[in-house]
Amino acid sequence: MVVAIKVAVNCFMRKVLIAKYMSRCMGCMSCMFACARRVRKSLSVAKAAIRIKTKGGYSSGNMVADHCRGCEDPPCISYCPEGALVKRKNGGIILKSALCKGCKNCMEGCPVRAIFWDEEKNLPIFCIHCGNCVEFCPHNCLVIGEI
Amino acid sequence: MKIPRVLYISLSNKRSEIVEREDLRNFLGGTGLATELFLENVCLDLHPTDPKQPIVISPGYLTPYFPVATKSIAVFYSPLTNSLGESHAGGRLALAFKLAGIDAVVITGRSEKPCYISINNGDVKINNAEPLWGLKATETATYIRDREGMSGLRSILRIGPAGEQKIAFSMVIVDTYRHFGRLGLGALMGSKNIKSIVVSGNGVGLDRDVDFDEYRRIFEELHRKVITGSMRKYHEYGTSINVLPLNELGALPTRNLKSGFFERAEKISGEAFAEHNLTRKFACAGCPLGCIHIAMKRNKFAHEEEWERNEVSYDYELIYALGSLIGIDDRQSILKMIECTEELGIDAIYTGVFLSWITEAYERGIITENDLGVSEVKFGDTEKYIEILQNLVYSDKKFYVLARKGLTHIIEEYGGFDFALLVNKNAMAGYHTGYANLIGQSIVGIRNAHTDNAGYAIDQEVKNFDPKTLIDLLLNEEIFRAFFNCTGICLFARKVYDINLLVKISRLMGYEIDEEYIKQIGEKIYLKKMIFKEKTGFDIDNYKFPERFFETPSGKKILSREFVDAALGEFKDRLKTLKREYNL
Repeated sequence: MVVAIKVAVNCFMRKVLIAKYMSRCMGCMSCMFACARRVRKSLSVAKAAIRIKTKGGYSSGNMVADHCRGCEDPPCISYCPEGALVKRKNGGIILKSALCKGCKNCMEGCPVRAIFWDEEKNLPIFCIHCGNCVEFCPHNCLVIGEI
Repeated sequence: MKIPRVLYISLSNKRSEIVEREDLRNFLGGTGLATELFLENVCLDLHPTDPKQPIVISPGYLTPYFPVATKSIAVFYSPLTNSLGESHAGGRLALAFKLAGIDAVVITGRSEKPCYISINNGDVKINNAEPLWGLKATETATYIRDREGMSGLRSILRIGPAGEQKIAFSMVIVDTYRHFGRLGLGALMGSKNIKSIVVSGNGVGLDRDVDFDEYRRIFEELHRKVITGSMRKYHEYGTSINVLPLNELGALPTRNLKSGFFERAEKISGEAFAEHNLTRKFACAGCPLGCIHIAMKRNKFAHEEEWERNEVSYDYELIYALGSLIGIDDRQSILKMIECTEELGIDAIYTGVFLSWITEAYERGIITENDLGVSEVKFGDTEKYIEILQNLVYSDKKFYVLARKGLTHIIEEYGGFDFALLVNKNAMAGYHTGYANLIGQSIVGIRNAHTDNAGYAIDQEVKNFDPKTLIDLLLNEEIFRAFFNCTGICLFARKVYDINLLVKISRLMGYEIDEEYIKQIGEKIYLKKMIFKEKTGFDIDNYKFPERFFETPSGKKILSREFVDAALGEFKDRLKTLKREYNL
């Protein structure tokens, strides 16, 4: 009985990137560099699936991380007219890049603006919740956690 | 070598173009590329703030490929020294330039009306900034941020009212907490009617064909080294950790360098700031270390517990210039002074030297209440100092009109040269450590800014040097840094990036250099700058040091003019030989 409940809970658990301690963020962008380098195999931080920015300037408050929240029912999926977005089992999105026509509707469909664009490949950039960025944050602002 | 893409912006005819300068590829980037572009475009016979003069800014060639390669280098005709001006800034600017696909920008001409320039990838827009003219530097960015996109992948430069007034020591603020602080770049922006520059890009073209596994290995090793190694000290307390040791040495300039010892240094130490005022730390984009220390300035502005607050950045130089040098021993007062320089947009170090000279001149009766419009000026009086700085920007009194051109102009009129803490017309950095610092800043240095000279380190680390050894050490380091500042790597990381590593990572990124190339390009850049300095009036034989440097003991010893003269003789010989090698 206990085992059965655990299995049922696990079905709903998603293991995703959480920007948990942003009041500690220095804005060094090491997470963005790590994502670009390790996941996208790119030298450009513009290819990262996480973006660190200020909210009204450095002196105005904490840094903000735009990143995929791993929604239970990701709204971006329904914005894709080509069916190129599939819900990832543990949270996040899997992109079927062959189907994508580059309309950028998905970006509009993300309420937290966490979908970025690869201008060279003309494809959206989705977080795969792999945790590579977490490893490189010098102040441990980011975690991979269950939601 | 990668071919540099240079963005030319001509404000007078509102045109811009990107030119691939294959002929300049050997100058790499940063200071090398910027110096070449500056020398091509500068008009020697015109005043530094003439609209025809160029503003050149170039990010380092290794930016943003490796950790801590975060610097952009500005080279310009300094209105403060009427000579070569160079200033370095971090923040997100270097990254933003590279994301925009630009290796250098050259801005000439003057906009008819106040403008702000937005550079997005290769596109340039010159926007109306009339409503922003007159605003504090801090406020300006608020409006620009709202109007421009690409948050997170952009950088915003702005000037304050001081730059608009073309005050010779006005600065450019970069991303709130970083600055092109020294030698008056703010005045050049003001003279062109530029209130702000926004740079952003999507990174197209930033990828290169590299051995990616090797790249990743080196990057990640460096990342670890930076956050765990010898640089750690810059993160913990930051440079302000030096307040107490330098004071102990007798090298912390106090009350216009009447002394090298501040009896209340403990109240303004890095440790005290950390314990009572530090609220957070920031980093430049691409630096996992984070050396930018932020403190909360709070001020009770009315009864009934009415408070206002602001967050300002502090470091050693600011504590020296706006603390011990002007006799302020209260941390909140120092933060208030820093805030004032940020809002007006003036170089904090020069401001300290300017105010400390005024205080002593007032004590001596050289200048009076009539000149200043402020009475009873004395060391440590923050409110009076803030009043004087407001007058500097807004008053039409003769004294301030002269002061806007710099201390040298006041001295010509009022005297008082011998207690003006000037090193080749710029304000001294906060190290009265000895010969190497004094000669490095005054004579050998080609940038004349505080972080770019090895002098204070040589004074502290090398025992009993003779004049020849001193010149060797200073010049060799200066030549190496002429190359190093092409890379864009922060000088705080100079011990992490040794010469072998620099060769290796440059080659990895497609720059075919070796150790010999580094030496030669360093020498070439150094000589070009020194020759420009000479053309604009720098003359070792007639160089005058203010007496104060010799009156006040540096540590426990009084500096001797004989030693300095011998060192200058050595330097002249070395310079002559070097010029001969290059037929210059």
